[in-house]
Amino acid sequence: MEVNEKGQMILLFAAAVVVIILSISYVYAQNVIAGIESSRTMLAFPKEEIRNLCELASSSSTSTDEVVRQVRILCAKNGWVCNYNYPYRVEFKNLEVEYDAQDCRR
Amino acid sequence: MDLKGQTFTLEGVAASLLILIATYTIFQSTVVMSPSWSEFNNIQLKQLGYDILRVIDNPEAVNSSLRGMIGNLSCGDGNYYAPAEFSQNLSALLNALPAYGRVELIWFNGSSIETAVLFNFSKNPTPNAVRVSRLVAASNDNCLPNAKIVEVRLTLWR
Repeated sequence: MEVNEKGQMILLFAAAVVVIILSISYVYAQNVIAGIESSRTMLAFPKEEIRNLCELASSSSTSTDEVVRQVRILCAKNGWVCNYNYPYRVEFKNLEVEYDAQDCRR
Repeated sequence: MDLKGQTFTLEGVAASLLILIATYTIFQSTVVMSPSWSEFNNIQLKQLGYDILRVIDNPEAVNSSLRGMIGNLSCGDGNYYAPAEFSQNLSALLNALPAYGRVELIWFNGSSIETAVLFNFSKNPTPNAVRVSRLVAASNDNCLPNAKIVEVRLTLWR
Protein backbone atom coordinates (compact mmCIF):
# COMPACT_ATOMS: atom_id res chain seq x y z
CA MET A 1 0.00 0.00 0.00
CA GLU A 2 1.25 3.46 -0.88
CA VAL A 3 1.89 5.70 2.10
CA ASN A 4 0.56 9.30 1.74
CA GLU A 5 2.26 11.66 4.20
CA LYS A 6 0.59 14.90 3.00
CA GLY A 7 -2.15 14.79 5.66
CA GLN A 8 0.40 14.55 8.44
CA MET A 9 2.21 17.59 7.09
CA ILE A 10 -1.03 19.60 7.13
CA LEU A 11 -1.59 18.60 10.76
CA LEU A 12 1.97 19.58 11.66
CA PHE A 13 1.61 23.02 10.01
CA ALA A 14 -1.73 23.50 11.73
CA ALA A 15 -0.21 22.64 15.09
CA ALA A 16 2.61 25.14 14.58
CA VAL A 17 0.23 27.95 13.63
CA VAL A 18 -2.08 27.15 16.55
CA VAL A 19 0.82 27.29 19.00
CA ILE A 20 1.81 30.72 17.67
CA ILE A 21 -1.74 32.13 17.79
CA LEU A 22 -2.41 30.68 21.25
CA SER A 23 0.77 32.17 22.68
CA ILE A 24 -0.15 35.59 21.24
CA SER A 25 -3.68 35.33 22.69
CA TYR A 26 -2.17 34.35 26.06
CA VAL A 27 -0.11 37.54 26.06
CA TYR A 28 -3.25 39.49 25.14
CA ALA A 29 -5.22 37.90 28.00
CA GLN A 30 -2.40 38.76 30.43
CA ASN A 31 -2.56 42.37 29.22
CA VAL A 32 -6.24 42.59 30.11
CA ILE A 33 -5.62 41.23 33.62
CA ALA A 34 -2.62 43.51 34.12
CA GLY A 35 -4.71 46.49 32.97
CA ILE A 36 -7.53 45.70 35.36
CA GLU A 37 -5.13 45.15 38.25
CA SER A 38 -3.11 48.33 37.68
CA SER A 39 -6.21 50.50 37.30
CA ARG A 40 -7.64 48.93 40.46
CA THR A 41 -4.40 49.71 42.31
CA MET A 42 -4.58 53.31 41.11
CA LEU A 43 -8.20 53.66 42.20
CA ALA A 44 -7.68 51.89 45.53
CA PHE A 45 -4.79 54.16 46.51
CA PRO A 46 -6.01 56.16 49.51
CA LYS A 47 -5.03 59.57 48.13
CA GLU A 48 -7.92 61.44 49.76
CA GLU A 49 -7.08 60.04 53.21
CA ILE A 50 -3.40 60.93 52.80
CA ARG A 51 -4.29 64.41 51.55
CA ASN A 52 -6.56 64.81 54.58
CA LEU A 53 -3.70 63.88 56.94
CA CYS A 54 -1.38 66.18 55.01
CA GLU A 55 -3.75 69.10 55.58
CA LEU A 56 -3.85 68.30 59.31
CA ALA A 57 -0.04 68.09 59.39
CA SER A 58 0.26 71.49 57.69
CA SER A 59 -0.81 73.35 60.83
CA SER A 60 0.75 73.18 64.28
CA SER A 61 -2.68 73.70 65.90
CA THR A 62 -3.96 70.43 64.42
CA SER A 63 -0.72 68.56 65.21
CA THR A 64 -0.83 68.60 68.99
CA ASP A 65 -0.31 65.30 70.81
CA GLU A 66 -3.97 64.99 71.78
CA VAL A 67 -5.26 65.62 68.24
CA VAL A 68 -2.81 63.12 66.75
CA ARG A 69 -3.82 60.58 69.39
CA GLN A 70 -7.51 60.96 68.49
CA VAL A 71 -6.70 60.73 64.78
CA ARG A 72 -4.82 57.47 65.40
CA ILE A 73 -7.79 56.04 67.29
CA LEU A 74 -10.31 57.05 64.60
CA CYS A 75 -8.01 55.66 61.87
CA ALA A 76 -7.64 52.38 63.75
CA LYS A 77 -11.44 52.00 63.74
CA ASN A 78 -11.28 52.06 59.92
CA GLY A 79 -8.41 49.58 59.83
CA TRP A 80 -5.71 52.15 59.03
CA VAL A 81 -2.50 53.13 60.76
CA CYS A 82 -2.15 56.92 60.68
CA ASN A 83 0.50 59.16 62.11
CA TYR A 84 1.67 62.68 61.35
CA ASN A 85 3.86 65.44 62.70
CA TYR A 86 4.08 69.12 62.02
CA PRO A 87 5.31 70.00 59.41
CA TYR A 88 4.15 67.68 56.61
CA ARG A 89 5.40 64.37 58.01
CA VAL A 90 2.71 61.78 57.20
CA GLU A 91 2.47 58.02 57.64
CA PHE A 92 -0.49 56.03 56.35
CA LYS A 93 -0.88 52.26 56.19
CA ASN A 94 -3.81 50.10 55.23
CA LEU A 95 -4.17 46.57 53.87
CA GLU A 96 -2.72 47.49 50.47
CA VAL A 97 -0.65 50.64 50.84
CA GLU A 98 2.25 51.69 53.02
CA TYR A 99 2.79 55.41 52.65
CA ASP A 100 5.52 57.16 54.59
CA ALA A 101 6.63 60.65 53.60
CA GLN A 102 8.91 63.20 55.21
CA ASP A 103 7.09 65.89 53.18
CA CYS A 104 3.61 64.93 52.00
CA ARG A 105 3.37 67.91 49.63
CA ARG A 106 5.75 66.24 47.18
CA MET B 1 5.93 26.82 -10.24
CA ASP B 2 5.32 24.55 -7.30
CA LEU B 3 2.19 25.63 -5.40
CA LYS B 4 2.19 22.74 -2.93
CA GLY B 5 3.78 24.71 -0.11
CA GLN B 6 1.21 27.49 -0.38
CA THR B 7 -1.63 24.97 -0.28
CA PHE B 8 -0.14 23.44 2.87
CA THR B 9 -0.01 26.86 4.53
CA LEU B 10 -3.61 27.67 3.57
CA GLU B 11 -4.83 24.35 4.85
CA GLY B 12 -2.81 24.86 8.02
CA VAL B 13 -4.41 28.27 8.63
CA ALA B 14 -7.89 26.84 8.06
CA ALA B 15 -7.26 23.96 10.45
CA SER B 16 -5.76 26.28 13.06
CA LEU B 17 -8.80 28.56 12.81
CA LEU B 18 -11.05 25.60 13.54
CA ILE B 19 -8.98 24.60 16.58
CA LEU B 20 -8.74 28.22 17.74
CA ILE B 21 -12.51 28.74 17.54
CA ALA B 22 -13.03 25.54 19.53
CA THR B 23 -10.46 26.59 22.19
CA TYR B 24 -11.90 30.11 22.36
CA THR B 25 -15.42 28.77 22.87
CA ILE B 26 -14.25 26.46 25.65
CA PHE B 27 -12.37 29.24 27.46
CA GLN B 28 -15.15 31.79 27.05
CA SER B 29 -17.66 29.40 28.53
CA THR B 30 -15.55 28.50 31.56
CA VAL B 31 -13.52 31.55 32.60
CA VAL B 32 -15.54 33.92 34.75
CA MET B 33 -14.10 37.41 35.08
CA SER B 34 -15.28 38.59 38.46
CA PRO B 35 -14.06 41.89 39.89
CA SER B 36 -11.98 41.07 42.94
CA TRP B 37 -13.00 44.32 44.55
CA SER B 38 -16.65 44.96 45.39
CA GLU B 39 -16.34 48.74 45.26
CA PHE B 40 -14.96 48.74 41.70
CA ASN B 41 -18.32 49.61 40.15
CA ASN B 42 -19.02 52.37 42.64
CA ILE B 43 -15.66 54.10 42.37
CA GLN B 44 -17.21 57.11 40.63
CA LEU B 45 -19.78 57.58 43.38
CA LYS B 46 -16.98 57.23 45.94
CA GLN B 47 -14.94 59.95 44.25
CA LEU B 48 -18.02 62.18 44.10
CA GLY B 49 -18.40 61.62 47.85
CA TYR B 50 -14.81 62.69 48.50
CA ASP B 51 -15.43 65.77 46.34
CA ILE B 52 -18.57 66.65 48.30
CA LEU B 53 -16.70 66.43 51.62
CA ARG B 54 -13.85 68.51 50.20
CA VAL B 55 -16.22 71.16 48.84
CA ILE B 56 -18.19 71.53 52.08
CA ASP B 57 -15.03 71.58 54.22
CA ASN B 58 -14.39 75.17 53.19
CA PRO B 59 -13.27 77.01 56.36
CA GLU B 60 -14.45 80.35 54.92
CA ALA B 61 -18.09 79.26 54.97
CA VAL B 62 -19.26 79.37 58.56
CA ASN B 63 -22.47 77.40 59.04
CA SER B 64 -22.26 75.47 55.79
CA SER B 65 -18.77 74.09 56.33
CA LEU B 66 -18.01 70.85 58.15
CA ARG B 67 -16.16 72.74 60.87
CA GLY B 68 -19.03 75.20 61.32
CA MET B 69 -21.56 72.39 61.28
CA ILE B 70 -19.73 70.57 64.08
CA GLY B 71 -19.20 73.75 66.08
CA ASN B 72 -22.88 74.78 65.82
CA LEU B 73 -24.34 71.30 66.15
CA SER B 74 -27.29 71.13 68.52
CA CYS B 75 -28.41 68.00 70.26
CA GLY B 76 -31.23 66.72 72.40
CA ASP B 77 -33.12 63.45 73.08
CA GLY B 78 -30.37 61.50 71.33
CA ASN B 79 -30.81 63.45 68.08
CA TYR B 80 -28.17 65.64 66.47
CA TYR B 81 -29.28 68.63 64.41
CA ALA B 82 -26.96 70.30 61.91
CA PRO B 83 -27.42 74.01 61.12
CA ALA B 84 -30.18 74.53 58.54
CA GLU B 85 -27.75 76.09 56.05
CA PHE B 86 -25.54 72.98 56.11
CA SER B 87 -28.48 70.62 55.70
CA GLN B 88 -29.82 72.61 52.76
CA ASN B 89 -26.44 72.71 51.00
CA LEU B 90 -25.73 69.01 51.47
CA SER B 91 -29.26 68.10 50.35
CA ALA B 92 -28.81 70.23 47.22
CA LEU B 93 -25.48 68.50 46.43
CA LEU B 94 -26.99 65.04 46.96
CA ASN B 95 -30.06 65.85 44.86
CA ALA B 96 -27.83 67.01 42.03
CA LEU B 97 -26.00 63.63 41.77
CA PRO B 98 -28.65 62.19 42.45
CA ALA B 99 -27.88 60.04 45.46
CA TYR B 100 -29.01 59.33 48.99
CA GLY B 101 -26.69 60.06 51.86
CA ARG B 102 -26.20 59.25 55.50
CA VAL B 103 -23.93 61.41 57.65
CA GLU B 104 -22.31 60.09 60.80
CA LEU B 105 -20.02 61.93 63.19
CA ILE B 106 -17.48 59.72 64.94
CA TRP B 107 -15.33 60.94 67.77
CA PHE B 108 -13.28 59.73 70.74
CA ASN B 109 -14.66 60.90 74.06
CA GLY B 110 -11.59 60.08 76.16
CA SER B 111 -12.45 56.45 76.84
CA SER B 112 -14.47 55.13 73.88
CA ILE B 113 -15.42 55.89 70.29
CA GLU B 114 -18.89 57.34 69.87
CA THR B 115 -21.08 57.77 66.81
CA ALA B 116 -23.78 60.36 66.15
CA VAL B 117 -26.08 60.34 63.14
CA LEU B 118 -27.33 63.67 61.78
CA PHE B 119 -31.09 63.96 62.11
CA ASN B 120 -31.88 64.82 58.47
CA PHE B 121 -29.37 62.33 57.05
CA SER B 122 -30.19 59.16 58.94
CA LYS B 123 -31.65 56.86 56.26
CA ASN B 124 -30.36 53.30 56.22
CA PRO B 125 -28.08 52.60 53.24
CA THR B 126 -28.57 49.79 50.72
CA PRO B 127 -25.92 47.01 50.51
CA ASN B 128 -24.18 48.59 47.49
CA ALA B 129 -23.53 51.89 49.25
CA VAL B 130 -20.04 53.45 49.36
CA ARG B 131 -18.45 55.10 52.36
CA VAL B 132 -16.17 58.12 52.42
CA SER B 133 -14.88 59.98 55.41
CA ARG B 134 -12.93 63.08 56.33
CA LEU B 135 -11.19 64.04 59.54
CA VAL B 136 -12.11 67.54 60.64
CA ALA B 137 -10.38 69.44 63.42
CA ALA B 138 -13.34 70.90 65.29
CA SER B 139 -14.92 70.65 68.70
CA ASN B 140 -18.31 70.95 70.33
CA ASP B 141 -18.09 70.34 74.08
CA ASN B 142 -21.86 70.31 74.46
CA CYS B 143 -22.75 67.57 71.95
CA LEU B 144 -19.41 65.88 71.23
CA PRO B 145 -17.57 65.91 74.58
CA ASN B 146 -13.75 65.81 74.53
CA ALA B 147 -13.61 65.69 70.72
CA LYS B 148 -10.67 67.51 69.18
CA ILE B 149 -11.02 65.76 65.86
CA VAL B 150 -14.23 64.43 64.32
CA GLU B 151 -14.54 61.91 61.54
CA VAL B 152 -17.38 62.96 59.23
CA ARG B 153 -18.49 59.79 57.50
CA LEU B 154 -20.69 60.09 54.43
CA THR B 155 -22.39 56.97 53.14
CA LEU B 156 -23.70 57.32 49.59
CA TRP B 157 -25.99 55.13 47.52
CA ARG B 158 -28.22 55.55 44.49
